[in-house]
Amino acid sequence: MTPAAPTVVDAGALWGVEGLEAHDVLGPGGLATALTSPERLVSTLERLRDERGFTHLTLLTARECVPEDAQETDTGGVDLVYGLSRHSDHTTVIVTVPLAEDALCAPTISCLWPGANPLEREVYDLFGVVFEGHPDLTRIVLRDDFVGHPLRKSFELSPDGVSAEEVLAAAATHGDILPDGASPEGPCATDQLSPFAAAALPGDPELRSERLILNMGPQHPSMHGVLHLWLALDGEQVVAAQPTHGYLHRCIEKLCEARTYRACTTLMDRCDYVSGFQTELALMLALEELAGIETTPKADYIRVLMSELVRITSHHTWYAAAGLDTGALTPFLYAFIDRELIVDFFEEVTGARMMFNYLRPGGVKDDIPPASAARMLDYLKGFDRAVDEYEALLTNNEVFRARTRGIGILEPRDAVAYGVTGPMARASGVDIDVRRDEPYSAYDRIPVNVALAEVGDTFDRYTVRIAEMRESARIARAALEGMPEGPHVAEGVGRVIRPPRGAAFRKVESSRGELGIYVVSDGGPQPWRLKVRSPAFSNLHVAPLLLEGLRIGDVVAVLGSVDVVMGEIDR
Amino acid sequence: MGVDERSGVLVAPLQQLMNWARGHSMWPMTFGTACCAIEMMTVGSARYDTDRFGIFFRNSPRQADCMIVSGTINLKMVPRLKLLYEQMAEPKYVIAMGSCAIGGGPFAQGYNVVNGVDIVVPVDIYIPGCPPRPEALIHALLTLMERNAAGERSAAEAALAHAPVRSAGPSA
Amino acid sequence: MSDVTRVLFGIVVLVVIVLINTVVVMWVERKLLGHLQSRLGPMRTGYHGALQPFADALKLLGKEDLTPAGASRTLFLIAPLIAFAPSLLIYSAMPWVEQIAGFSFDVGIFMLFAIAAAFPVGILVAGWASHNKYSLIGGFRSAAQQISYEVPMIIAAMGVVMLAESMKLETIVERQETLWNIVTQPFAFLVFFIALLAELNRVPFDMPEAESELVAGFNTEYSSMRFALFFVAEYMNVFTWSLICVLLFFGGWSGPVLPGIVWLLIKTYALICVIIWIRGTFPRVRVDQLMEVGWKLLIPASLLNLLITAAGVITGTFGLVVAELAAAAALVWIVSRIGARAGDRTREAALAARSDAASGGAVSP
Repeated sequence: MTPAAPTVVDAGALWGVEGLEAHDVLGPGGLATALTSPERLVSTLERLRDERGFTHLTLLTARECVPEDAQETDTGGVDLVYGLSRHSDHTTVIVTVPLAEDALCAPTISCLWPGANPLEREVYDLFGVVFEGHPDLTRIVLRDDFVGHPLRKSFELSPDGVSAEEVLAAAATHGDILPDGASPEGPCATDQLSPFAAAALPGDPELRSERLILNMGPQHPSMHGVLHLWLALDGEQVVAAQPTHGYLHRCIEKLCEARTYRACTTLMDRCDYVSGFQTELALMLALEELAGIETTPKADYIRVLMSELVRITSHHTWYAAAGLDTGALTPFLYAFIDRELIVDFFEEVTGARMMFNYLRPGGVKDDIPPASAARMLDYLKGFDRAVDEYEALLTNNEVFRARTRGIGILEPRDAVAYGVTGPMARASGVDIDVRRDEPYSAYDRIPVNVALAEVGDTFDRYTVRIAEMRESARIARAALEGMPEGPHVAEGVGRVIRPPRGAAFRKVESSRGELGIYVVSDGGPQPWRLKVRSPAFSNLHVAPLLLEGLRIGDVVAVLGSVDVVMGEIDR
Repeated sequence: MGVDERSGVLVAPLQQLMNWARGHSMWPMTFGTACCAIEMMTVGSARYDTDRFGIFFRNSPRQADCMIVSGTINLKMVPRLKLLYEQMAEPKYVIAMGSCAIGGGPFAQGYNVVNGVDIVVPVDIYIPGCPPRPEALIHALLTLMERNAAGERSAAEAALAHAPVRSAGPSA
Repeated sequence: MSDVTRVLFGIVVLVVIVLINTVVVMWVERKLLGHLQSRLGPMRTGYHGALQPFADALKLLGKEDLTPAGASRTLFLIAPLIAFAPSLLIYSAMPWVEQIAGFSFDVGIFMLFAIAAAFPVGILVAGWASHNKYSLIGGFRSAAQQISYEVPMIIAAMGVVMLAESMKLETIVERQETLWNIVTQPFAFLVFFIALLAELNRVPFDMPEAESELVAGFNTEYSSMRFALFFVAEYMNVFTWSLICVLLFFGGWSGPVLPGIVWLLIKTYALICVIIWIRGTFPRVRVDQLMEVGWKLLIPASLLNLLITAAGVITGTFGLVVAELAAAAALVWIVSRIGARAGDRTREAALAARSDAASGGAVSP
C-alpha cells in the first residue's frame, strides 16, 4: 500500500483532548501521532483512556531525537513514545513526549496501566529516562552493575564486542541478586521495599516463621529458556512472585541500528525464535509502509501461509511444554513428530529449519516449490486428526483437568490493564486479534475465526491454543488453495532502502499476541530506532497476579500456559 | 587418569571397562538458553531420539556429564554458566552449540554478549551453525562418546595436565 | 555347609537376582516408554540397548563424588544408604526366606510394611542434608506423601489378610490357588495399586522428584554413586512392590505348566509394564490434590473394603465379588467425576464475580 500523504491536523480537535499539541501528523494507515509535554502526560493519557476509549497501551518506548528534528524543535534528548489503541475502530494514536537532554524525566503512568511498570523499567534501563513516582525503577534487562544506557546514540558499540576481561570479571561476580529490599541503585530509591520484597519478607509473626525465597531459574527445566522467577513461599504456597529477565538480552535493537533494513531480518528471526516469520513480517510491514513499497498478491498469500504454519509449530512447542510442565512426557514426543513435518516444509521453501531470513521488502525470497506445496496441502487436510490425537492425550485427562481448571485465572480487566494480548487475552474473553481487526497481508481476503474462551484459567488458555492450531491449519490451507499466480516479489526494490524520515508502527498477530515493530527512519539506510513490541513481555508480567496463592506445581503449569519466549522478551 | 604402570595388569582392564561405559552413556544437562535450545529439544524427539545412543537429558548439573551450551550467553547469564559448570562432577565436558556459544554469533558486537563460552569454561566440542541441525548435535555427542571410548581426556583435564601444579606427581 | 555360610550364600544369590531384575526393570522402562512414544529407546549398547543400565551405572561409578558446600556432610553421605538398605532388607520378609535361612515370619506382610516405612526417612534426610531448597521441598513432599499413602495401602492389604486368615505370605499365596484375590478383592487392589504408585514415587504421584518443578527433587545435589544408589533403590522398589502386589492379588507363583518362578516373573513384569504405561500417559497431580486423594478418598475406600470383605466372608464368595466390583466401579466413577469437574466451582465463582462487578456486558478492551 502507498502511504497517504501526511495531513496536518489538530490533534486536540481530532481526539477532543486538551493538551495534545497541533503539531501532529496523521501518518499512513490511520496512525495518528500527537505531541504532549511531560507535565500533561498523565492527564492526557488518562483522558484518552477514559473519555476516548483508548484502553490498550500497546507501545511504551523511547527514541533518541533525530538530529534534523532536534534542530527544528530545538529540544535534543529523548522522545518518549506511547502507543494507545482503541478497540471500537482499531485506531492507534502515538503520543510523543519530547524530553530535553538535561531533564530526562517524566511522570510514571504505571498508575494508569500497571503493565507500564516493567515497560518503564526497560526504558529506564536502556535510555536512562527517570520515571518519577515509579514504584520500583531498577534495571530490568541489564546487570545492575552495567554502566551506561546502551540505546542512547552516545553509547557506541565496540566493533569487537565485550572483551574477554570484562566477561571474566562478570563471571567472577556472584550471580544471585536477592530481592532483599529497596532498589539497588535506582534513581527513585526510597526507603520503601520493592513490591515483591514487601510481600515476601514478613513471615508469620506468631509462628516467627520466614518465607522461603526460591530462585526458580534462570536455569530450570520449565522456565522456557532463561526466565528467572523469584518466589516467596509459605510451605508449598506462593505468597508473591516476580519475574526477572534479561538473561537473553542480546542487544537486538541496538544492533539493528547498525544494519541495513534488509539485514535486520536476520535478527528478527532470532528475536522470537519459535515463530520467526511473524517477527520478520512485522518488520517488513513497517518498512514497506515507511518506504512506500507495494507487495505482490502472491507474496501476501505466501506470507500468510508461512505465518500460520509457524504459528502451528510454535503451538506445537507450547503444547510439548504444557505437557512437560504438568509432568506428562508423551505430548512432547507426539507434538514434535508433527512439528518436524512442518519444519521440513520450511526447509524445502526457505532452506532453513528455524532461522528463515525469507521475507524481503515487497515479497518473499523464493517461490514455494509446487511439490512441497502439494505435500503440505495433503498434510493440512489431515491435520485435524493430529490435533485430535493431542487432545486425546490431555484435554479429557482427569489429572490434566485437575491441574489446569480453575488455576491461574486472568481477569479480563487485568488483561487489558497489563496489555495482555494473543491467545492469553482471548482465553479471558477479550476479543482481540490483529489478523481480524487490522488485517495485513492477505488476511483481508482470508477470513479468520477467532477462538475465544470465557474464564481465562490455564485450561482455557490450553483450549484456545488448541482451537488456534486447527484454525491456523484451515487458514494455511485456504492460503495454499487460493494462492494467486504472479511474481513472489515486487520488482525494483533495491538492496539498500532509504525510507524517508518518519516513523511507522505495524502490528501482526504472532503466536503469542500482538507483536509490533516501531521503526524510526532518519532517511538513512539503517533504522534510527527499531523497537519490537513484545507480546510475551506483557503477558509475562501479568504472571505475578496469576501465581499468588498457588502452589509450586501450579507455577510451572501457569507459566507454561503463558507461553513465553525469552528471546522476544529480552531482545 | 592414566594407567598405573606398577599395577597395570589390574588397572588396564578396569580402565577399558570404564572407557566403554563412558563411551556408551552420556547424560547432557539441559542448558538451553536461546534458539539452539529448540533444536536441542528436537534432538530428544521421536525422529532423532538420542535415547538410542544412551544420551539421556538430566536436569541437575550434579548428575550430568556434559553441558550443551545451546544459545547466547550474556553478561547477566555468565556467572550462572560458570556456577553450573562448577557444580558438575568430573569428568565433565562442554559442547558449544551454535555460533553464539562459539563466538557470539550475529550478536558478537553487542554490548552485553559473551563472545564465546570458551572464555569462561573449557570447551570440548564446537558445533557451528545458527542453529546447528539436530543431526549436527547428535554427531557432536557421538564424537564425544567415541573420544571417551578411546580414553581421551576432556578439555578440562587436558588443561589441568598442562598446569604445572598438577604435573608434579610423586612419580615425577 | 553350616547354617551361617548357607544363609550368607543365600543372601548373595538373592541380592544378585534382585539387582539383575532391577537392571532389567530399568531397561524395560526405557524401551517400553520409548515405544509408547513412537521412538525406539536404547539401541546401541548391547542387544537393543540391553547393556545400557550397566553402562550408566559404571559411568556413574567413575564420576566425582560431590558434597555441596553447606551440606550437612555426615547425613548427606549416609542418606542414600538409609534409602537403599530397606529396599534390599525388604526381601528378608519374602516367602522364600524359609528355603534360604530356615525361618520365616508369621507376620510377613506386616514386616514388609514395617521395613518399607524406613525408605522415606532416607529421602527426607537426603532432602534436608543437601542444603538446597528444591531438595528440601522434595524431601518434605516425599515424607508427607509416603506416610499418608501407607495407611490406605496397609488397610487395603488387610482385606487379603482377612480372606487368607493369615499374615504369612506363603499362606496368602497358597489360599489363592483356586481363585486369585484380584477376583475377590478388585476394590482392594485398586486402592492398593493407586497407593502403591504413590509409595513408589511414580507418575502421576512423582512429587518428590517432579522434574519440571523441582529440577530433580530430593536427589538434585547427589552425584556419582550416591545418586546411583537412589536410582537403583527406586527401580528396585518398583520391582519389589510389583512382586508383592502379585503375591497379594495375582496368586503369586501359582500357574499351570511353567515353574512357579517363571509365573511369578511373568506376572510381576506385566504389572511393571502397566506402571510404565501409566507413566507414558498421565501428567502429575499437584501436592495438595495428592493429599486429598489419599486422605479423603483412599482411606475411606480402604475402610469400606474392610467392611465389604468382612460381610463377604459371611455371605460367601459370590456376594463378595459383586460388592467389590460395584465398589471398584464406584471408585473409578468418583475419580473420573472429580477429574472432569475439577475447578468448575472456581471457574463459576470467577465468572459470577465478574458479572457482578461489570453488571453484565462483555469487557471491551
